[in-house]
Amino acid sequence: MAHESDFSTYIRDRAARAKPATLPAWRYDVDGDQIEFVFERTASVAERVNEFWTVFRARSDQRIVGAMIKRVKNFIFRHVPNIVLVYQNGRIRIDYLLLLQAQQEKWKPDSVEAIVYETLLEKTANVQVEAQLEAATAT
Amino acid sequence: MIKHLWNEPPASGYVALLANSPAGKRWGVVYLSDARTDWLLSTYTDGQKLEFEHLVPQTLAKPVARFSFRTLHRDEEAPRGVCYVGKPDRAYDDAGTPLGGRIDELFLVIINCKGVMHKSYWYPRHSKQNPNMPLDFEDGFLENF
Repeated sequence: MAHESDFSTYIRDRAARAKPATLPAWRYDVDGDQIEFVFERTASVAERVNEFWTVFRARSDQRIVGAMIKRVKNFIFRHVPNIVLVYQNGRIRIDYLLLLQAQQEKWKPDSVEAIVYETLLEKTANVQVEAQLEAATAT
Repeated sequence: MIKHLWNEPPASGYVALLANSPAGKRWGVVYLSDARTDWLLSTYTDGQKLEFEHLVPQTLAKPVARFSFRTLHRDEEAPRGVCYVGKPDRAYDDAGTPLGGRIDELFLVIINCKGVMHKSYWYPRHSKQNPNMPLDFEDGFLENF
């Protein structure tokens, strides 16, 4: 069992070995059933957009520097009419997923949600995230 | 009755941390995977690494609140994810320089229904009247326990 000092040693050891990721970076996390995107490496604060998306805004100017989509399996298997549209060969097409989600909403063009989705669409164009959803753990 | 699967340790490749209730009572164990840790560290600033190192165990040990997540299409008795809420007295800038606490924000540690932590981040507080509650917690969380 790691107490704070043990955890501190654990983090420092792993941080010393970890190479900085090339950004933008993304990863499917099986424990959270979520995909996390990091567009820029900077201090941020989270903003919940809806039940699926959380974005991370830079402290300096509020630009979007990261994002997280939650309940990936839930959305794909319950709300996507034809799964191969967004998930094929173990890869999720994020921009298609965003479009399918946006299609179910009725935002005004200048609403915060619409602007966030537009920004995410630009940042994730053609992004395909590897994820073995059949074996993933839903949360 | 909220059920959790805290007593089923995952396979190797995870580190375990103690988690307490807001009243200080021992509640359970939270796991964090080596793979997840490595990825997070590879994307963090020096300041975020220090926050991960210090604020995560502090928040789990001395939370000011915790919530069980609402999950859609689920049995009410099914295990749920949990959000631990911390109010640290420090933060760090990008370079890792210590700052004071963030008065208008809370530090959240997100844990899945099997007791595995998968994310931590700063989040705005609800209000001055509800300083220990995250903003919009009514929309994303179900139960304060």
